[in-house]
Amino acid sequence: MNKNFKLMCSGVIFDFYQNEIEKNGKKQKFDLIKHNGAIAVLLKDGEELIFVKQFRYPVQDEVIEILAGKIEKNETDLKEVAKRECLEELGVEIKNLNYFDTIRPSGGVCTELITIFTADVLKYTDTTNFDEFESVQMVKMTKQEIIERIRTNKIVDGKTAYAVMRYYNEGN
Amino acid sequence: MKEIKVSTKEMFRGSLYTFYRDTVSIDNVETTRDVIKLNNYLGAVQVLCIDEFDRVIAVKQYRHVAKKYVMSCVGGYIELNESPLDAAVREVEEEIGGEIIDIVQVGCYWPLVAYSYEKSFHFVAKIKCELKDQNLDTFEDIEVVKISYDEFYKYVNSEQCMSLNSKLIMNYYQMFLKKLV
Repeated sequence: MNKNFKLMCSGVIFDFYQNEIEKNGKKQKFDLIKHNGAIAVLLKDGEELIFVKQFRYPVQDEVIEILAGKIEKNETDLKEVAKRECLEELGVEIKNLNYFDTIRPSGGVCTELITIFTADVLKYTDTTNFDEFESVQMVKMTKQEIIERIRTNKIVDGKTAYAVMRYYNEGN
Repeated sequence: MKEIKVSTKEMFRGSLYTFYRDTVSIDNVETTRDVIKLNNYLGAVQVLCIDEFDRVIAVKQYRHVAKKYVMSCVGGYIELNESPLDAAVREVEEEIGGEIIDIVQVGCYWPLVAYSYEKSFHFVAKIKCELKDQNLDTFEDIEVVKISYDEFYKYVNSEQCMSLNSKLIMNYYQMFLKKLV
């Protein structure tokens, strides 16, 4: 991070930084939201894709998303994070875990990077381990079902719409 | 489970964003949610501009977060008393000096559903080949880039480009071209 940014306030999932830039005699402050990053998994079970449905506080509604999880500060092996999240959130053991893309959801001010993987279901287990106050529901959709939802703008989560559209644009 | 706001506390007010810690009630149990909200926020717009020669007219600017110059679609924030469409038309005029022939909204997405109120309205615009002068703010330094559709599609889906908004809008348009949406 640019060393001129100063920490103004620490949060649970992000920290707030700010700096001041001078140009042509004018001064302006710029905000920077620092986040440790996340992983997401486009999970497949045969011809169907697997999503999670959960209440999202800013949206004030239930949102359908590809599975995702925050990277903790001590975690460096993102494939391990992806495997753990699939097991903890959905109780799914995975195979064929492959890198898909890295995205910056909000490029102007937020440092969050989401590393997206694709994976196939190996087996369903009874093991789930939600964080407190986390409640997710598994949703399976065919190609036709998810594309119809994208076409009618029912998929409001950006990372999910992008991963699904690109996956099908690549001939899958 | 529905999360109902009980109270809100302003943790830090920045120049663009404010950080709030909301106390929320989930099944009558209280916890907190950290959220960021753009000050005076009405939403953002992204516009994929395609000219009469089917070239993409993109913008290139320095991003502090990425620490490099990045290419993306035209975009910006919705201002007071503007509709998303008004903002899209204004941003096309300001950032690239483009004159719109036709414009259509193709989606609306939340880039950070977990902790941000940010919401982005996406448009595809057909614009005239001849561009007028840009009309930028003091702190805006934006280069206009004319690039073939195929090259831009390849760029947004590569490691060089991480912009979710550009990736979303190009992949939506690609699906449209392939008659998938």
